Amino acid sequence: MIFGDLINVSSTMKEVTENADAITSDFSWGDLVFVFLLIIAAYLIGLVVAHFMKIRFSHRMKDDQLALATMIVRVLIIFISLALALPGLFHLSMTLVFLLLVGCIIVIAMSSSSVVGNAAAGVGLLYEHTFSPGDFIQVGDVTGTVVAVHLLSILIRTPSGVLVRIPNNMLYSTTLSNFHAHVARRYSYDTGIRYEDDAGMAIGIIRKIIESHTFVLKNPAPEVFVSDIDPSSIRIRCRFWVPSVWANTQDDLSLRTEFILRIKEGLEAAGIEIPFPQTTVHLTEPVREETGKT
Amino acid sequence: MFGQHPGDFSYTEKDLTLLIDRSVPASRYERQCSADHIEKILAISQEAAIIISPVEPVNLPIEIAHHLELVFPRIVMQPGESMIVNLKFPVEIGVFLQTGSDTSVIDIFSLNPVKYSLYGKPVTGLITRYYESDIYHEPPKTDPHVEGVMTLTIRNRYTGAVEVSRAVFECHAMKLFYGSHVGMNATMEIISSAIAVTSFEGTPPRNCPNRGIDLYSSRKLPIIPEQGFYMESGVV
Repeated sequence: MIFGDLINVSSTMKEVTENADAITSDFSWGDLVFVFLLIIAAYLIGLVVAHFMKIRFSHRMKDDQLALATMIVRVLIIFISLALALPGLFHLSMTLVFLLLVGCIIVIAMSSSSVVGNAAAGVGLLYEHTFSPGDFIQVGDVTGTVVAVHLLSILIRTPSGVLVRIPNNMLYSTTLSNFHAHVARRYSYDTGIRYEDDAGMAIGIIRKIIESHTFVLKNPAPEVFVSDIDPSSIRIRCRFWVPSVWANTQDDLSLRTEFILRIKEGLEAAGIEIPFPQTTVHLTEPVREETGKT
Repeated sequence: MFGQHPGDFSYTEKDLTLLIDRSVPASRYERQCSADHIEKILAISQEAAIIISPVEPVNLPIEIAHHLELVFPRIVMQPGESMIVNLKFPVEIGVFLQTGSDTSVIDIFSLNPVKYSLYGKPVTGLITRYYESDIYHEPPKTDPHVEGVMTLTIRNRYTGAVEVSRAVFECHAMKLFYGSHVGMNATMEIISSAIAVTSFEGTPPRNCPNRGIDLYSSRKLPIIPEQGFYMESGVV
């Protein structure tokens, strides 16, 4: 079997050397024009196919995903048309063309494995539909709004205005969070009050503050409850949902500070204090004052 | 206040002050609504008209919802039964500049506090403009700058009794009218215990002969006419 393959390869190599002379001798300007027209025809066919893909899938796919898919299809059409036409043009067999293509692919893959890896990851992202331009995402330590999704990388604009380029293969090797994937997001904040304060009253005040906010959703209803009893405070947790689109326009920091300030002012107006971390020490014997001299 | 104003116009109410000054050489538009104040210089011809009209209540403070959700006390409906109820809904006011057949938005404001809700689940649901209303058998008296009246015809086409306490409407298809009050007619066809179809009727309610300006058409957004909104996440 192996011996048979070796014979095939040697015969193919022999074909290459024989065809080399034929290529140089039979090649004409007409052939060049033919190849040129072929590329133009493949390009036009690709445009038509892309147009039909846009009509057919525009309501099912996001814009960036559709753009990437149409680009891949158009490149494939050009490659296939060249692969079908070149053997006849240069008097080569399909086996030889196939071997040349495989050789080219292996050389390209070995010389630029990261590029191929990024491209493969780009196609994978297209299939997974994890995020789209405009979404607010977190990749590793980088948080921001997706500006563009390319075949090899994505561009993210951070809240501080920095444009960050992330290779696609990195997206597969790290955790990715999309804060805009669903229509609503839940926030959770904790507040501590003193032991002597009325926890029920504090819950009522916090609930009123949260419910009065325009973007806190009526349904699912906000939740406010005692979540823990710390050594120095009673912890009250509030959980509420906001529209993801609105949360996307404001970073988490501004949202958090807005609510914390309102809750602090509301509690203080009712005489409820947020305590410092403290420890109460009870002594079983009266303290004896030392009157001795040093 | 609603209608076309070709000349100077001023309006003052408790929390609202509106001024359109058509002086030469520059016209001026000024609006004070509660703590919100806006002032614009208008470079417009004398032929241009200012129109004030109620608009779909999903524009403020930012456009994040396209649906209006009205919640009302529970109604139990037997199979085949239909019922006409009047519900209050929030009103947003649009100020438009009309030049010939072209209508452009100058300002949108509301005297009504805005509240949003989630209809359905966070994964597949919708963000809606939320409003609670009582049920009225006759159109209630309202401040037309704050609330409107929706005459809703509810029909139970399901084979069993159904409880209804909410109706969700797609605002692209909303057809507002104004006159003595702001109003619109709508229908709600209950298909099953959890699914209903809501739609708007093009006929004006009683005492509301004037058609309001559709904000979506004035913004020239391409809207595909739909046969109604499918409430697939429940009617309670």
